Amino acid sequence: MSKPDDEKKYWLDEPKNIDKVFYAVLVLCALVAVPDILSLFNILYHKHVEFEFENIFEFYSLYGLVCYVGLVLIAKKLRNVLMRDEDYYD
Amino acid sequence: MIEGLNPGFILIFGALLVPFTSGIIRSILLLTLPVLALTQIYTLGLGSWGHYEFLGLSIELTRIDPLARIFGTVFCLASFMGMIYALHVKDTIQHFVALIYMGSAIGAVFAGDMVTLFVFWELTAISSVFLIWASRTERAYKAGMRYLIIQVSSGVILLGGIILYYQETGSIAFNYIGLTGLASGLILLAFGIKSAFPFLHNWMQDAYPEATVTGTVILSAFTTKLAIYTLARAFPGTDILIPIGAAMTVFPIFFAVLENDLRRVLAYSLNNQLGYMVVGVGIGTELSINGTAAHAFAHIMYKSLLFMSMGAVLFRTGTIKASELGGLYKSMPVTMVFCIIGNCSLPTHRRICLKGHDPVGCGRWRPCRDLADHAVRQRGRNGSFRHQGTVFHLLRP
Repeated sequence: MSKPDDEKKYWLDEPKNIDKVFYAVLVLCALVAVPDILSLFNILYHKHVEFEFENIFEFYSLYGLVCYVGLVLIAKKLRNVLMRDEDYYD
Repeated sequence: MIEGLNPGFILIFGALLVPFTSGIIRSILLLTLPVLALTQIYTLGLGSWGHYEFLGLSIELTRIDPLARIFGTVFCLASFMGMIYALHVKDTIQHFVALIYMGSAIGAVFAGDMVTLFVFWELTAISSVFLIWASRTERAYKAGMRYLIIQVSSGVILLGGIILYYQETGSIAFNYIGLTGLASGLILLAFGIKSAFPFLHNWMQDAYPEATVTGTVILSAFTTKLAIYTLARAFPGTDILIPIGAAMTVFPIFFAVLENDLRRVLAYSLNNQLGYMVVGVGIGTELSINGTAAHAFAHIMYKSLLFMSMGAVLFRTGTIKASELGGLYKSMPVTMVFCIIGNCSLPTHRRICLKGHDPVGCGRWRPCRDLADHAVRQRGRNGSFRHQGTVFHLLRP
């Protein structure tokens, strides 16, 4: 893909850099998971669980993931009911 | 500093000087006033000033306690930041009404009685609508009119509640009220309109996205958080607030993911964040009120930042419709970085706030943890709020 000389080439225009960002996010996710894993062995902090299932491995992360994906899926269905054209109220 | 002067008056009286200034002098004035108000808050310290007898009512113009002070502090910070953002605007009306609006919100926070609160409450409504009308479009005019009607209705309902409350109790002091009957119900309804309870929320998503670039940033910080403050003062531990708040945290998100106007998306997200605060007030323990105040404090910071970055996009590109935008990292890299910071703080702050194991380590502080556990047992199994506010124990005055 050739670009005109006057157009600046940006770092993110390279597909391999997009991959780098993706992997960096994966690493960040793994780092975020570390404290919860350590807490299984009572190392970093102690969980004050209210329910037994909160002791499941990475419960809070999974809970967040399930809720968020569920939210988006429900919102997609709701789109048929709630969505209005942008000039609907004009 | 003037002894006992409500810090809000510094901004309101300062606003009267704005029309007579221009250029660098005005910039200095706009930035100095919030600093002066903040200085006033902290030089006064805790206490109560400005007691008058008016038509047989005991007025208390200034009352500073820790709850009021934390909201007053963040309002002054938000004023300062909002003013930096608005310095480039060459519009005397916007500068003038923004200062009146900020001043009346700060004044309302430090009001010791409900009549003073009512006056400032109405003043926030009347002054803020000019930030919407300052867009000077037909759309903004209509949205502003709807906004004004709803806001003034809230004030009228509040006044009705205050009058009934005065008849019942003979007092207009603004302290714990609790939901007991018609009078307190009306007051709760008035607060609920301003804090955008479900079905009372439409004014926010309607009006905020129509305000000017700088107006939206300023609007987003004050009105709703003032309402949260009044709820926290008058209705802590009111059980009905827990389901109301829980509904508030959920339903706006569905609308937010459907919306194309990015400032409207942020307005829905703002509504959702208020839900967390309403739940916190509903739980009503000392810990949860601390958490609510902490969340309100941080929320004003990052939501202003998000509205600022979206404002910059609107200012630069002329549109805020998600479907027409893209690739902005090329032309606005700095804005992108700030926007990412704002977005990260949404879940991060809540995580710190909602879970006990905070980075400053005060979750391990025993009294704090016991209080948290006690709060859960006392108030049912509201897991998400269990340990909220532990961070804030370090920040408390």
